[in-house]
Amino acid sequence: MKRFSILFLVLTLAVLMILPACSKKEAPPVEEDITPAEEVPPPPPPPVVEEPEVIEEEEFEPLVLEDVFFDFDKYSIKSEFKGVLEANAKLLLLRSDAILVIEGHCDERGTAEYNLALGEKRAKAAMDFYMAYGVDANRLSIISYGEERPFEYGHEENAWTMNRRAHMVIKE
Amino acid sequence: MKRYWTLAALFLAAMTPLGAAAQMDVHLSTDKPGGGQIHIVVKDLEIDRDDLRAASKYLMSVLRQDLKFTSVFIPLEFAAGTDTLPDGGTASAIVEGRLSWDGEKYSLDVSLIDFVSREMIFGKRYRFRHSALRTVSHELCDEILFFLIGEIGVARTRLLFTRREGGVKNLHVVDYDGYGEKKLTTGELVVSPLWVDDHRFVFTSYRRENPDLYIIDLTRGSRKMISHRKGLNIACGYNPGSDELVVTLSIKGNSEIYLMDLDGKLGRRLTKNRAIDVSPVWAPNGREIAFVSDRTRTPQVYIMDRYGGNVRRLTTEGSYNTSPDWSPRGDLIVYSSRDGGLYRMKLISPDGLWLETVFDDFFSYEDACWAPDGRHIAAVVRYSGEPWIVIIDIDSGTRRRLARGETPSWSLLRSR
Repeated sequence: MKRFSILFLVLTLAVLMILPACSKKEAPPVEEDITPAEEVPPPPPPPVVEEPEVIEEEEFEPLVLEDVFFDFDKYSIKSEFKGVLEANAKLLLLRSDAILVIEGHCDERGTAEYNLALGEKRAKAAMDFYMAYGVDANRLSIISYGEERPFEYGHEENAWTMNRRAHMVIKE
Repeated sequence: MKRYWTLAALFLAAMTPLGAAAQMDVHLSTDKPGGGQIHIVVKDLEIDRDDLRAASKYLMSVLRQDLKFTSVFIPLEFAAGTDTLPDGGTASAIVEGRLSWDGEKYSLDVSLIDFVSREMIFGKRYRFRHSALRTVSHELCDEILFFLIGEIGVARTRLLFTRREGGVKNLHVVDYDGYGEKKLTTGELVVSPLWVDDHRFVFTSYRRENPDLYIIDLTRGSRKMISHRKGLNIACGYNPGSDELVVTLSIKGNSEIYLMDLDGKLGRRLTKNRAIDVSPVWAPNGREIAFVSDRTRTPQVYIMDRYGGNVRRLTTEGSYNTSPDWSPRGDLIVYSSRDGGLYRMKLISPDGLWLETVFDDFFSYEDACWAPDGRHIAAVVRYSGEPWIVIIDIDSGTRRRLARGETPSWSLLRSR
C-alpha cells in the first residue's frame, strides 16, 4: 500500500512538472502530500519495481486487459486464468477512470440462442471476479455476443478455442 | 362412398367459397405417414389468346411445385394430346381450367375433377393482376389440400432467417418455396427472429449496443423497439391466444424467463435460479412452456406451466439438449441433441415417453422450427461449413434447401 502512495506521489509530481499549465486544480492536493514526501526521499532508489514504468506508459497509451478463455459449454474460470484476471483487476484499480465492458463469446458449435446465455455467463464470471477484487461494479458491464462475433472464422478446434472467451473492452 | 363425396363437393362448389367449408367432413385421408400419397393430374390451362401461354405455363408450374412440396400429393401430367396417364395409371383428381385476360386482370376458372367419374369436385374463379400469379397458384394448392384431406396448407407462408454478411447478420424473408427473398435489415447484428402472425415479427438486434427486442410490421412498414432492458432481450415464443410473448431477459446478468406483451410490458417472471434459463416456447394450447436450463449442469429441455410451476425435466439422454420447438399439433417437441461432434434433431412426446432421432446421418440439424401445418420443419444444416435453411417433411424425410442462412422462423397461417 505504502509503495503505491509513493508511486502516486512520484507520478503526480512528474505530471505537475511536465504539465505546469493545469495548475489550478492540482495545487491543493500537492500541499497535502508534501508532508509524507519529505520522509520519502531516502528510499527512492529501491523502487526499481517494474510497475511504475508500465503505469507511466499507460498514462498515454490505452489500457489493455487480457482476455480469458473457457472450455466447451463451460463458464467457470479455469485456474490458469485466475492470474490473468488478477492482473487485470490490479490495473483496473489503478486506473479508476477506466470503464470496462466484458464481452462474452462462444464458439460456433451448439445453439445460437443458448450460446447467448452461455456467453453472458462467461462475461458474468469475469465480472464477479473483478467485483470480488474490489473493482467498483459501476465501472463494469457485460454484453453477450454468443457465437455471433467470432474472433476466428475457422471450423476447427483452434478457432473454437480462440472464440470461447471473455473479451475485455476498455471504454473511457 | 365416392359418389357421396363427389355430390357433396359439387354442392359445396356451387354454394360456398372454401372458407365456409371448414365444418365439412374430410374426403380423403392420408393419416399414414409416408404412405398413401395422392396422385393429381395437372392439365395445361386452356387459353383463348396465344400471348397467355407464358402466364398459364407459369401458373401451372408453380402449382405443380406447390403440390409436390405438400408431400401429400404427387402431381402428374397426361400423355400429350390424351386424357390418360402415360403408364395407364390412375389418379385421384384432375386440375383443369381456363385462363383469360381482360386488359387489366387475369381470370382463372379452375376446377378439380374426380379422376374416375370425371365429375367436378370444386370449381373456383380467381381474378388477379399479373403480380399475383404465384399467389394464385399457392392459394389454389392450399384449397386443393384443404378440400381433399382437410388440412391447412402452408403454400402462402413465409420464413424469416438471418444470414451472416460481413461482420453482421442481416434479416431476410423468403416465401416457403424459396422464391422472392428480401433483405429486411442491413448493417446490424440480428438474432432470433420470431413471427407473431403472418405479417409481424419480433427479433433481437445489437443496433444500440445491447441485444434489444424490436417488432416489425411488414404491412405498415414500421419498426419499433419494445424491450431494451440491460442484457439479453430475446423472444422465443408467441401465444396468439393470450397475445403474450415468452422471453429471455438477463437484467441481473443471468438469463431468466418472463412473459411480455407485444408492447414490451413485462408480465410474470417464470424462473428464478442461478442457472441458465433460455429458449422458452409455448405449447400450442398456451398452458405450458418448454425451455432450456442448465440447472443440472448440462443444458436440458424442461417443461413448466404458464405460471412457472410444475417444472419437469423432459430430456434425459445426452449432455446437450437445446432449442425446443413445440409442434402446432401439440403432440411433439423437436429439439437439438449433441451426439459426438454432431447435433441430432430429435422428436419427443411432451410426456417424454416417445423419443425418435429424425436423421442418423453425417449432418447436424439445428435450430429446428415447425411449419404451421405440423407436417414440415425448417432446420439449419451445414454443408461444408456453410449454414443452410432446409425444409424437412417429417413423415417422408424429404429435404429441400431453402436458402443460405440460420435461425429460421416459419410464419403463421394467413387468416382465410
